[in-house]
This record gives sequence, structure tokens and C-alpha cells, in this order.
Amino acid sequence: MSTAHDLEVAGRVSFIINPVPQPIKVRGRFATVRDTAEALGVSESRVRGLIDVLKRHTRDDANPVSRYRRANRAGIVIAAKKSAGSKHAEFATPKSKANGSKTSR
Amino acid sequence: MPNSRPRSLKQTARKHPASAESVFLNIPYDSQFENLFLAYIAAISAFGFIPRATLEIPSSQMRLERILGLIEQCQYSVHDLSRVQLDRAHPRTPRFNMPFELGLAIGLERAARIKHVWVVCESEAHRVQKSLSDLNGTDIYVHDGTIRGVFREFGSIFVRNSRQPTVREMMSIYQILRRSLREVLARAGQTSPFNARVFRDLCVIASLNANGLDKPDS
Repeated sequence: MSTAHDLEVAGRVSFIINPVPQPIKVRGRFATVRDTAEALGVSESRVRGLIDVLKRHTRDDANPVSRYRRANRAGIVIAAKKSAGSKHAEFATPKSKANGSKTSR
Repeated sequence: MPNSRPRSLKQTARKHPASAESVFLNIPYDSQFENLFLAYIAAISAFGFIPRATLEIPSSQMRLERILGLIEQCQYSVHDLSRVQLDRAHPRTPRFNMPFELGLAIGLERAARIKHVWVVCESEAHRVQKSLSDLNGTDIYVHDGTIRGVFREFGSIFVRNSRQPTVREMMSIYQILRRSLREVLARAGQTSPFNARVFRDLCVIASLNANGLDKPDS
């Protein structure tokens, strides 16, 4: 833990240094859901119930990662389709897939 | 004859959950602190830690022993000393639990019984210097009593080499916790989030979400 130091130079000048606190370097691995559930004593069936709760309250627009994962799982991400100025693949609707548009492999 | 039966792997894992690290969360349990309670759970989970709190411990004569045991299981502890005011209930008293548990954590760490790192958070700058002057010279992380402030300070407290969560990611976990809270309370038949079952459920939901952010393909 750092300290605010009062320093005296040549017995006359005194000033305060507030050192920037040093962050704690975390080396342990990222806790998985299983780790959390086991440590807290939550059963697997309750975790499954909580996954359902989470699904109900996860909005696609609020969570771009889950949106991407869901779309990817359904195989409807079009890698080649880009809009002007966009560097990222866009989401396609199942309808456009059915019409035979290009899809990622 | 001593019991030489080997402890099963499952039992060992329950006592020491692999090498995933836990954070002992020492905060006031009152309705005014609900937002920050969710914010702390979101931030701790976003950093890949397991949140632990005395909420898990039922009221009993062995409570103090169990609090000590819980702190010993955790590699880190976060102590929020924001609540220094008198409470509303008669007789009006300040809350001593937070500074007391901070003292327990420091005592365990200084006695070298465990490798433990403790940090102190406050909502107002310089107030701890008056309310708990023994901590003078210690870094106090001031979150201004805001959710975003908690996330900002967590980014200052902890650094992960592999992946440092952003304030936006922590906020996304918080928003999901906030949206799920009503259903979690209904499932537990509770009205307050400050009880064991709701706390555990919220921690699992936060972990589910944090792991989704960590591994998009999993």
C-alpha cells in the first residue's frame, strides 16, 4: 500500500507526493461457471434453471457477443457480405440464406 | 485410530475450488446499497473471480468462526466502508460489521496465516481518514457511490494479463443482473437481494455472463 509522504528538502521545502496505487496483478485462471457453482454450493439443476433465467433476460441488442454466437450457431453469418465502409461481416436473415446467398464455410 | 480415508476429489474441489480465486465482499446489506451490491458482483465476476460474502453464512453461534474461515478461503477481500451513518431503526447505531471484518482480514494477513490481499473502497474521498484514521497511508478506492465508479475502481485495483474487462463489459453484466433480479427474487420467495440464495443465484448468473464474454466460441 502506498503512502502520501511529507518530504523535507534542506529543512525548508516540504511537499507531498501521492504515488499512483499499484494494481494487483491477477495470475489465477478465470473462474468458470462450474467453479462458481461448486464454491457457492449451487446444484447443476439450479444452474440450468438460472441459464433459462439468463436467456429470458438477455437481449440480443444489449449483448453483441451472444448475438454473434447465436447467429453463428445457426449458420447465418455471412462473411463476404459487407456494407460500404464496414470491415465486419453482417448478419443475414434465415430468409436470405434460403434464397441461396453466400454463406461462410 | 485416525481416519485415514482419502478425501475424494469432489470434496477437495469443494474446499479449494481449483485455482480460481475468490473475493470476499464486505459491504453493507441495506436496500440503499442494492445497486452497488449488484455492481460489485458484476465487477468481481467480470474479472473471473468467485464472489463470497457473509450472506452465505446462516446466523448461529459459530458465525464468527465461519466468517474467519470464509476470509481464509479467499485470496482477496474488498471492504466497502461507505456506510458510516447511523441507521434508521431504533436504537440508532452505526454499522460496525464492515470495519470489524476488515480488521479480521488484516489480522489474518498480518498473522501470515494466509496469503491475502485486502482493499478498501469508500464513496467519499478523505472520509476514511476521519472515520478510521488507523488506515491513514493506505490506498482508498473512491467509487463516488456510483455503479460506474465501482467498475472504474475495479479497473484500478486489479490487472489481468490475459484479459482485462472493460467498464462496458462490467456494465453489460450489471444490466443483466438488474433485469434478472425480479425473477431471481420470485424464485427464492424473497423481497430483498441480501440473502444467501439470491446472492448465490446472482453470482452464477454473473459468472455465466462473464464466461460468455470471455470465450465467445464456448
